[in-house]
Amino acid sequence: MSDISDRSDRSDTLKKEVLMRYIFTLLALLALGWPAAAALPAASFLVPKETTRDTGYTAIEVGLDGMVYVGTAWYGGSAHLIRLNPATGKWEDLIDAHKLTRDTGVGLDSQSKFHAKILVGADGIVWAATKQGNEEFTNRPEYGESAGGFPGGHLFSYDPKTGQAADHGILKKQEGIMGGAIDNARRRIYYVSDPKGHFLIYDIAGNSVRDLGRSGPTPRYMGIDAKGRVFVVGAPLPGDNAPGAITMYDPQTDRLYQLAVNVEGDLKAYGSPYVIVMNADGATLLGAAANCKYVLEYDLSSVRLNNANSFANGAITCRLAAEIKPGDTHAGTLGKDGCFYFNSGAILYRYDPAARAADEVGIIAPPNNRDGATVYSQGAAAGPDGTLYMKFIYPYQVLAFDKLTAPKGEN
Amino acid sequence: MKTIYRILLLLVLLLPGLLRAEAFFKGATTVNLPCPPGNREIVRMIVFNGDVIAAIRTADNNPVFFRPADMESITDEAFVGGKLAEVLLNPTLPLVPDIERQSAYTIIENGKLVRIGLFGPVEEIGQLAGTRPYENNGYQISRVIVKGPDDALYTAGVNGAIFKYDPAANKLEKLNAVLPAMKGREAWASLDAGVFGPDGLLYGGTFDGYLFTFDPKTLQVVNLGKPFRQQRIRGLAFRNGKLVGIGGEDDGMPRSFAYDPQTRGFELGGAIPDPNSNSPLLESIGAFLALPNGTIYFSTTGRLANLYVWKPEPVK
Repeated sequence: MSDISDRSDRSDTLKKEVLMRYIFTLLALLALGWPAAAALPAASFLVPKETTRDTGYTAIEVGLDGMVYVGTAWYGGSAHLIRLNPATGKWEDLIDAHKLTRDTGVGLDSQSKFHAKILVGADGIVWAATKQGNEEFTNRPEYGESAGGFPGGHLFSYDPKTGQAADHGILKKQEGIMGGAIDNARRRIYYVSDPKGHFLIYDIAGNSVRDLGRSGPTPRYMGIDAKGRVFVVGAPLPGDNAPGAITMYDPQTDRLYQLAVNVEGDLKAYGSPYVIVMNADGATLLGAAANCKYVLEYDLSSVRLNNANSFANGAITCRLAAEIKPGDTHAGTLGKDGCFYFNSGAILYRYDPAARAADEVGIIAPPNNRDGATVYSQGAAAGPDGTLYMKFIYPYQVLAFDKLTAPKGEN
Repeated sequence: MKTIYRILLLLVLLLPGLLRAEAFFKGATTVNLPCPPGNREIVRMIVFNGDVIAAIRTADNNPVFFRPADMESITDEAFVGGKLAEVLLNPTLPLVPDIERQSAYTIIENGKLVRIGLFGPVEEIGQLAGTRPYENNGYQISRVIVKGPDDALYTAGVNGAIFKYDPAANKLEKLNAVLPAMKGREAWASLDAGVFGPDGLLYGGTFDGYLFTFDPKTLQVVNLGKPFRQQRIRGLAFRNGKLVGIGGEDDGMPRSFAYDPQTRGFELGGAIPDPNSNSPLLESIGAFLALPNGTIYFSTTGRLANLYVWKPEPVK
């Protein structure tokens, strides 16, 4: 573990960062002629250049120690697991994927991304997994057929108490690891492989993995409900305007089920969700889809197994819950206030499942954004104090929205 | 003038590479199946009494036989029990029906060619398959038996030898012809796919992924090479005068190709588009069946297996 924060100006306190962001935002708004929506104040923490080629994906989570764990991407090289102390702005490099695995792949064959969602167990252990860099699968001559090429994504753990990092091996030969959900009760971790989309169950105690077969396309997000059932975006179903399925894993039967989606409301307005998060009550799954003008709310009590559709094992009902402005959506998380926070383009939304209402929290304006108003959000996580951490690329940075998701009266 | 000539020559040499063939099997459509995800892997398709019949072995090991044309379940006695059903549901064994004799032929696990009566009796014909070095159990079992224009059956067995069985004369011959194989791998060579062409030649594919022609008259075998580096030829068919096929290993990705007997050239179609998504088919091909009218049925394997049909383009 090495401290790599001295080189940067990240030693500023969160408070200073917030103040600077206020001033920056004010000046920017004045220059733009005061647009309707206000940019949200946030502290920016640039990801250290030694650990990334300026990009990263869904891999972000806040540990039980309050540290922000972030996975980086390094196309053609080795990805890193790093962590941020938001109080000091210091970064630490915890895992260099190639160093720990002794993998020697280069280019397309390297462990280039910590893309899967970072998971934190009830014991505080942090789990992260790697995948290929460039998503070139169709034309790679060796894909799936040769001992060479990309060997497969590794699963890693990091114990903040001991500072020990471990490589638990490749979960599926020549497949990357995506998605990610942890079941603390059953001591299991769920992932989906990339590109074949196989549902993988990792048993923490036994250090073993099972492949239950294809669940659908490779997802970024997975959710576990109160019964331990795992939900993930499923395969497209044949037919015009047929909504893509939701795949469910039921630990009671140890089986995967493909669920057709019954949309309550305008079927054409439905979009297959990119972000899904489990509601705090474990009874509804919340979703946001790219360019969809509704927040999606799946009623998990509506799951029925039947033979109504031969491409599915049953159905689930989805409500078009609240209207939003459609945009690109990649990042979302459940706030400490029980609301679903996600981006739609540069707008940060908050969906309150209790009120079934969505509101615009504000405009996200990452500093030094290379594409002007186009914002590339990649992942989100909420800290114990309700601070919302979101990742952005170009430049690769974490924005901290101070106590934004804290329950009312605590922020 | 010399420079122009050189440029033209270069273009001619590069042209085949620049004109990358469109993916074969593009435009295939998905066939609805009577079984849900997790239980929809088709392990076999055969033509029986003029009907295409598909066999599914469910996760609970229950056999399902149906006609893809109308989704009618098949409940004939011959299909629901006995040795025929057992072989139908085992995709590692070859099977060719012989309606005239109310029977079917296969190579059973001990490597013997047998005739299975539709209603029970199993008659041994002769030993075909060999063994791998240091092993006693039959191993070199080919996955297809191909019926020739002479009504004889052709397959391969021990050390890659091609066998001919004449059902009318009940005569089994080990021919003086062997499948193409790398030196030392003859004991692994088996027939993965095969189809007779309009020129009377058997076009075959081996487990190792070699394509070849076999002339039943001269017994000459010509190794056409490998369309790609991976093993397995999952299916072969003639369409519009070209041999088209799909290859790919169990853990690999299915890829298509075509071979033109006129030009003796390959066209590499690459990955096969999934009609239901923007990605290619990622799981290996299971069953493959070509009909004389040019229609090709093929299925993917795995939990979300599908059956696809690729029909000939209508004549304009």
